[in-house]
Amino acid sequence: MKLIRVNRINDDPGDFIYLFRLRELALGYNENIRLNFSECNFLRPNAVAFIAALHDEINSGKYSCSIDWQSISPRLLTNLQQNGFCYYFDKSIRPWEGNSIRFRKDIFKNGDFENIIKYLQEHCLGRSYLTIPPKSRHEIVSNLLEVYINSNNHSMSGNTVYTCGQFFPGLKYLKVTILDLGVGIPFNIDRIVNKPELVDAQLIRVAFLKGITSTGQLGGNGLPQLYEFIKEYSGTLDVYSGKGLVRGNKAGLWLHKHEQSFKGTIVHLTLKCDIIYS
Amino acid sequence: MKSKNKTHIVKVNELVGPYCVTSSDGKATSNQLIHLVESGDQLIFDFKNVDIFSTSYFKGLFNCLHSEKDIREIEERIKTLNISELGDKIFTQVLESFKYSLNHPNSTSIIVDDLINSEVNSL
Repeated sequence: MKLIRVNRINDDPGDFIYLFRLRELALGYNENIRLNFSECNFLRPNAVAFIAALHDEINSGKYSCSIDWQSISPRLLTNLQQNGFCYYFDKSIRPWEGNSIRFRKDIFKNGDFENIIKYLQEHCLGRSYLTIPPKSRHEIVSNLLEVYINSNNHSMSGNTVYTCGQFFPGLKYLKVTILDLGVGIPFNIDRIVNKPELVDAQLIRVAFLKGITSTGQLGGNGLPQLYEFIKEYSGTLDVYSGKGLVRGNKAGLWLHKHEQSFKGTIVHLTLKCDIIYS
Repeated sequence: MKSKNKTHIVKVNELVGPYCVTSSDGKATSNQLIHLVESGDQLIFDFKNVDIFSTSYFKGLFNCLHSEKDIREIEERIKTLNISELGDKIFTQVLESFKYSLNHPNSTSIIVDDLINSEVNSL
């Protein structure tokens, strides 16, 4: 068994790249993995979702992945209990309402999005300390839903999507991470546009264009719609896939490349809540 | 000369429930209407009690309708009723995008070509 020590993980691009490296390392060992958190005192929700996905990915194959619960500091453990990460592994540890947007794994069967809509309405936006007018709530849910639909339609990941998030009352913003370990956006877009010159970030950028079509079928409005919404709420939208990152905000879209490939898609949203915060 | 065509009100909630989400829902809505589209009647989509919308739903709807009639012809014969601001925005966006793609079949390729020169920074 190989022990992997997980560091503290924030949600900057460097932290995502660290997570991609962690995954490559874990998958590359070709032996059972044990994740140790003795050097970790902080995990942002993006890391929570990612680690749960990595755990499942390894366990779905030839080797196993386990978590060294004893290595987790009491403070971090409380956070992981609250946001439902622990509940995912042990159903006796029930999460409770706090600032976390509960960790969740969804397997969409037959395009049934009812549960995720309820989750977004109740656990994501239905918090007692948030007063969001129904109109805005429906708007946020509809836009977040675009990510799940995209993942369901294109990821080829067995329709499995992981979500986790958090409210930051002091800063008045909320963060949500939605990820799948599917084929990724560059792979899908490359099949449509067939332009080998484009790097992954540019291929992700193509997905932000309205009405991209492949075989005459209408397509490609989910991400543009989400981006418009993000701009309206003065938020930030980060999309990681392959070796690319596209960051969108009110000022525009920014393309970045990195060396650490990630097979899958992560949509990481930051919404300013002062518009909707009571 | 008076038109012999009728006007039909389609209660979307009764067809797909309160969420217009998947392209399958869009197709299901469309399948109920295909015969009306073929007859040249006017269609009013009543979105009363529909709260959640996605682009996928309208893509499914328009793709399916377009397979029977030209979308520009369909546009003249469909109207919406009781649709939320968001629903209307998505409806319009998807429809416009659809029409644009049909009118400018090479537009995607041109824009994508432009992207080759877009700036990509290393992290």
